[in-house]
Amino acid sequence: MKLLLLPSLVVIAVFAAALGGLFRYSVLEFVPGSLTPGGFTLANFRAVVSAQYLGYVWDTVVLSAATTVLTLVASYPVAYALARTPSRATRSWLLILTLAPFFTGAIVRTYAWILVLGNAVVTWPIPMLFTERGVLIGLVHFSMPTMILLLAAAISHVDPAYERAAASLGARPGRVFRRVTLPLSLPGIVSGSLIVFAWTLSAFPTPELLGGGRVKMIANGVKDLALDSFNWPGAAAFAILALGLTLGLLSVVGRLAARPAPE
Amino acid sequence: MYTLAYRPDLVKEEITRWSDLWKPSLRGKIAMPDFDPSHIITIAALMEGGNESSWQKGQERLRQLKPSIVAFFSTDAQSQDLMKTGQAPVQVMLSVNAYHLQEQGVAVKVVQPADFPGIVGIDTMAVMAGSKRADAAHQLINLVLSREIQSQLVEGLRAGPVNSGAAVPAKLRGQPGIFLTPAEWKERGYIMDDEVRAKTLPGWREWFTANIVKK
Repeated sequence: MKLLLLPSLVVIAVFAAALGGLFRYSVLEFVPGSLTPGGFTLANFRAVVSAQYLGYVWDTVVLSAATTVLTLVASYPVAYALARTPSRATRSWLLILTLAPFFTGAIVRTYAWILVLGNAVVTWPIPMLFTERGVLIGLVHFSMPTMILLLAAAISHVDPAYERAAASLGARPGRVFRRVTLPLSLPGIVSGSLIVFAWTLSAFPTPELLGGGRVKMIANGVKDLALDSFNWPGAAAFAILALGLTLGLLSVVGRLAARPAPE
Repeated sequence: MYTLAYRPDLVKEEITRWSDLWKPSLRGKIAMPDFDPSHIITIAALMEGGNESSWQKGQERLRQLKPSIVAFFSTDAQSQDLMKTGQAPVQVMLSVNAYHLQEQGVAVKVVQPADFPGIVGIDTMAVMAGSKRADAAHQLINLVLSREIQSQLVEGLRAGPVNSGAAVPAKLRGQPGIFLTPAEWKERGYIMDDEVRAKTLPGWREWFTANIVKK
């Protein structure tokens, strides 16, 4: 039995070694004009707690939270229809439409949004492309299929008999949804929101392409430091700072989500 | 060469000089690289009587350009997409990218600016210190610099050859970014001090991001 653990231990060791390399680089001096780092220093961490980099972190958290809420609101009706529509044909079409974006890569989808948000297809009354609004739309679209599938799975586990019982006791449809369906589908809401929030924290291609350089999230900041400024120690320090903040944030959100609902 | 390129079908007035970028009529139409802002930083410094070493002289002029910039790009593909879709019809653009778009049928005009030259792009080849295959690496470098390969680069990419013996088709002679003699490299292109560029680029990026990119 212990032998079966061996592959996972190897994988963990490889990731631990990579993380160790990241930590090592983060405390080495950046020498401008050279790819060879200098000696031990904590200057990289002092540099990445500046307003510019903390601004990237703040923008990332705000965009991730907004993406999570909007994705949830936009996905719930689709998931409900997917779980409750009696017609098999309609369910199949909904499922195909939900899964279709999975078959196109993130880059292709984002390029399509460049055309849509950039007045090539629709004329927008306010600028959309290269703004946080445009990035938010791209992130929500990217997250929706996963959220829909998780919510549909949760809703399909809610026995319709509960809803019928509530209705037979005089509850209107809105009340049935608020007091029965919604609370019973909470496990799907919590898991979907956590997953969307966590992966939006590390979003890269959507802000890179739809942000036009003006909207930057944490991953874009790390890439800028590493590949454009050739400041690998700085990039390592920012990545570690972001990793710590992300883990802390997810732990707080996870604990809040795990709290029992008030009676 | 990083120079000016624009879509005459989307920009009514002719662009002939770097200083044209500051015209109010081009507000919201310009894109430029943010991964390497050295070109526009150097041009702004040259316009204010400085150069890449005294780049701070151009800071105020660059701040004035901020409202005109609609987007920044971090790859050649992004630059070409912005030009092709018309999202940013005026760009500080790598000449080979503009020529590539021309070949695809996009109406792009590549400018040889009249006030200051374009900034010559720097590509390098290096052999790792201690390499056991240094001879093979040198052979590769010689091949890349050979007359035959350099002729193909001019023909295929419309990149300026670095071998004076390279064959340059008559239609490409004199085009922006294509230089035939050492004198042309000096007159029609600005070559930054490589050491200044390498050592200052991270600082340029930091300043550029905080003062020009950030809204």
